[in-house]
Amino acid sequence: MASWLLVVPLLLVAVVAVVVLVLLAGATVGSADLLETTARARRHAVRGSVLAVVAAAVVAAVGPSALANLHTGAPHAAFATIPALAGLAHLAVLALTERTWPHPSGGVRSARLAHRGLATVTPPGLATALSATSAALLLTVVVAAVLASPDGRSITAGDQQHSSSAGPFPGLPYGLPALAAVAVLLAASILVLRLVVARPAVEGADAATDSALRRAGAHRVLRGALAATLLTTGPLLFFAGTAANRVHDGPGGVAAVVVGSAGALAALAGLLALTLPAPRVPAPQPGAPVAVGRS
Amino acid sequence: MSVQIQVDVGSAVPPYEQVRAQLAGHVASGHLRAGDRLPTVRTLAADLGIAVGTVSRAYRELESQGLVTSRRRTGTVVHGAVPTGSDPGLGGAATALVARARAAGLHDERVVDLVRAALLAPATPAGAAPSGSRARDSRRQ
Repeated sequence: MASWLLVVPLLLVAVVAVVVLVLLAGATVGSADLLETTARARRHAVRGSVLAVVAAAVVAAVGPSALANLHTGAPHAAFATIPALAGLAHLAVLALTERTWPHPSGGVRSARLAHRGLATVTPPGLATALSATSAALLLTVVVAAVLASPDGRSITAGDQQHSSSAGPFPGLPYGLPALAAVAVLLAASILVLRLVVARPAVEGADAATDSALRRAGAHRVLRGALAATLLTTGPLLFFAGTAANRVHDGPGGVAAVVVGSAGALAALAGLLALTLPAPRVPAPQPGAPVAVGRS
Repeated sequence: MSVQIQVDVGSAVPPYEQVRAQLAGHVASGHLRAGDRLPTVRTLAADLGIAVGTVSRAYRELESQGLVTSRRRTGTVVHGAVPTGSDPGLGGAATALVARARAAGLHDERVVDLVRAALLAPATPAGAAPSGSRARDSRRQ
């Protein structure tokens, strides 16, 4: 049963990813139609993006067994940090991609005198979704800490004579590490976004192309961070709702089912977030100037 | 409009001077106006593939000329146009000089040489043209 809970969403995401790739393949400007420098920069970005997803998948795959081997007294509590750790691995590869971005190499180099900052490259939709998910995580951890039993790993309902407990419940032993890991992830995301802003402009590319490449870089950063935050928040809500449903009847039980379902949906949304396509490089304008300094 | 500058790393003119001169030119021509934000030193250095200190020096010199101001929060902002003293027609005269020189087939660096030569010539009474230095420079072409 547990394996199906994991396999079905992954299969769904794989199908969505294939559909997105097929649709994108038809709408993507071919490398032959782009400046050589632009095509090279795009290849560099895509290669980094794929490697980042692979790094995140490796951490997600080996993380549970590695944490279990550590056995620091409460190994299962650390499991809540695995999505954020995978997100950090994703960010590390993206940061490396930005740091190794192709530099201008021609004898004559040009630069636009336009100021650019985080606001000019950050996709507003993803930034809003990430902020909302982070706020939801904070709220989940606080409410779960209040509702949890003194041990922080279960929830108890009833009076002193007839009480029942259920777990696992995401009290502070689960919530605090998850919150701390996501906080580090968000801080690291801002640092990598700064790298996206500061990296060299693509030699010879027009403003629209450079902007698209930069927005695509920021999109990949926020897409990974959003997925990791949703995959942290979702399971916490799911386990909170499931445990609460076992000890509450009536409206409380219904509310617990709603919370648990919302958690499952959030986790699924986290996986699907990974398939959100990044902005594409536009087709070059007719009569666009050739790359400055190309040899 | 997308304002650009170029740096020729093979030129005898130091890169910081190329950056400074072009930025000053864009301010003087009105392509950059008071309040326009310039790229950060790091951003411009990355785009041009030159050292951060090179752009920093160009910005410092522009600041000392009163063309830009640097603030911690807003970065480097264009302060105003090149001061032309009490003669507002100087900008137009410079534009006319450049147009005339280009029509004569002079390279931009030769035009700058002409201006430098005129500046080095002894002060002349108002209205008299420094014809000696211009003639000397013309012969060098």
